[in-house]
Amino acid sequence: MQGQRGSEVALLLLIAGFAIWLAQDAARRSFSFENLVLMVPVAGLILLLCGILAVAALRRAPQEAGGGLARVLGLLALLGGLVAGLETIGFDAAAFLFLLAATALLGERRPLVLLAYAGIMTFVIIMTLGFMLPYEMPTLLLDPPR
Amino acid sequence: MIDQTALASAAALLGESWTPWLVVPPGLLLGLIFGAIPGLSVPIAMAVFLPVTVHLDFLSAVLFLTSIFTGGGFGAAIPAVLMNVPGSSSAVATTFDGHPMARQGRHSEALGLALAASCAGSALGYVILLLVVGWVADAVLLLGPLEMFAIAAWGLTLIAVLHEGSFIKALLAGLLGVMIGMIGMSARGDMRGTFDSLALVDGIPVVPALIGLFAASEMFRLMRRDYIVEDKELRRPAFSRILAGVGMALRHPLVVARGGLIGIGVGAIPGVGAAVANLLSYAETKRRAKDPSVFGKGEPRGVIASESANSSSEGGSIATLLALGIPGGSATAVMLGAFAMHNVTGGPRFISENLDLVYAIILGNFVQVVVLAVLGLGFLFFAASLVRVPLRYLIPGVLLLALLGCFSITGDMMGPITMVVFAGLGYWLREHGFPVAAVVIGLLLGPAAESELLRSMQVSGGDPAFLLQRPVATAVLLLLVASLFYPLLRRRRRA
Repeated sequence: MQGQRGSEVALLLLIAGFAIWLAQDAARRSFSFENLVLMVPVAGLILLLCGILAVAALRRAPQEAGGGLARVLGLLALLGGLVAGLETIGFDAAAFLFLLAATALLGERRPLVLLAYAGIMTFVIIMTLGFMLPYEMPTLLLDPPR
Repeated sequence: MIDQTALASAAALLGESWTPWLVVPPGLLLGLIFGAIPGLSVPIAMAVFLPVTVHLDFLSAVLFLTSIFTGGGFGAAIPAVLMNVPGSSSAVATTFDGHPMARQGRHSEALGLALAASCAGSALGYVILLLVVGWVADAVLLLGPLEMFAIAAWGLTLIAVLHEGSFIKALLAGLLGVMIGMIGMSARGDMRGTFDSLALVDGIPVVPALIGLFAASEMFRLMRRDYIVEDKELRRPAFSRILAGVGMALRHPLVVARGGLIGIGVGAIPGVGAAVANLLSYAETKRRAKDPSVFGKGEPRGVIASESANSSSEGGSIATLLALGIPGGSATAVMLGAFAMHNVTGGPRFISENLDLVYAIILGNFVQVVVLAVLGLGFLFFAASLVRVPLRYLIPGVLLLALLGCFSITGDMMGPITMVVFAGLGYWLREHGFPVAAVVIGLLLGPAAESELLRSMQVSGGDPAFLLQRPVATAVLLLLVASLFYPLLRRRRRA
């Protein structure tokens, strides 16, 4: 089992596992008819469909995964880093680093362009949102008007 | 049908001074900008600018807020067409054919189509509203949980219509959406899948999930290209092609009319609104088409169906607000705030005692649609230039804006975290041919279907004969069955 086929089966296992977990969690909270009236039939149907699709995937000839997965995972990791950084290093610093790294990951190599793009975008977005939103947005350097 | 005296009085109210109209162009522009940025929704724009309306008289305040509403209703179509990223849940169906058109280099036409359909749909909605506003309160009060369940169930059948490829995969994706939608506190008060965390009591935040499924996963796919439109010649924005799109929309009056009617009807139902109207209209247009297989591949009727419905639903939601004082969604909830700031309470009495003001609001909205048609053309010319920006700059910028937009929706880290998780899931699903639109439909309608079904069972005591006492629900369910079997019957007749 390799490439696309393995990835599809893994996805189906994840969906099936999620359905089982949610249905059993709901049943554990309350076994009443009202609580499970939609949950159990939907979970049952999901398991059935996952089974059908998994068998179909396993019967198919193996295919290699499409290219570019490393870059997708890299960008996803950068997004995760951005989320982690917003409230720890500040919205401005996290946004600047994300833009810098993501633009470089996507192929921009000129350092001045990278710095200028990340700097200008960070300034415009953080200052505008900081002014408009009623929520606290911790920042490292920028001080949006309130 | 129309009280002529009140109508004349409304016209006089709007025409006696030009000052109330001054707020319309900035309101429309704000709506266009906020609508066009994924995550920065129209309700946020309305909430941010609500304090400004304190200094305006009631009519100007309502005109300003409804201008933002009108502009934003269309603005959401711009990223839907250009980047396959719906600016809000009301533009999900616009992506189905709008973005394929953009990838074929027909982005200017697609944007023109969307603008014309949006304006025509809204205009039709307001004409109908002018005729029926007096009856809206009675009509909405006829809708009980069984009717709401029937409408949600109708919406869920969209999964069967919208699939491109494997029906089993579409069904599984839809059911996954329903299942995810059941996380949180149930209608009965049971906590399900929350890990006892308060952050999940209200369930998974829908808009961040939608942005992750659509926007972020689409950005991951676009990474393989250098530009949204590969052909350099086709990238250049052309005003003539935007106008050609406008002309194209006007050649399909039936699609616009159907979308307008669905939009105003669904929009008037509190809690349903534009998010469902665009999907229903798209599905009905595809079902009735002689050649449904062309949908999803850049078919102009798909864009028209979606945009005419989501725009006219705005009229429906304003009708409910005026007639019952009930906000149908977050945008009308902000408008209710403006009502309160001016000591105005919506409801049947407000309509009977201030019919001239109600007509003035509707006529004012009608004029806004005309102004939007002009202002929108100019805005689109600049928006269409977005396809000239290299994707290595566009993708990080859009992702950052979308993520901060999700923060602005939830006010905490729940929004951004949801977006990132659903971005990964959306990409994984798409890579294996699962339609993410089906997940969104399940997520939007599954919880509503469950809670309305439960309420119906409680009201009826589980007696199926209850259905016979609810003619509206029976009619909707019959329409649902008919719309499911109509394509099959037609195919058989053709064979």
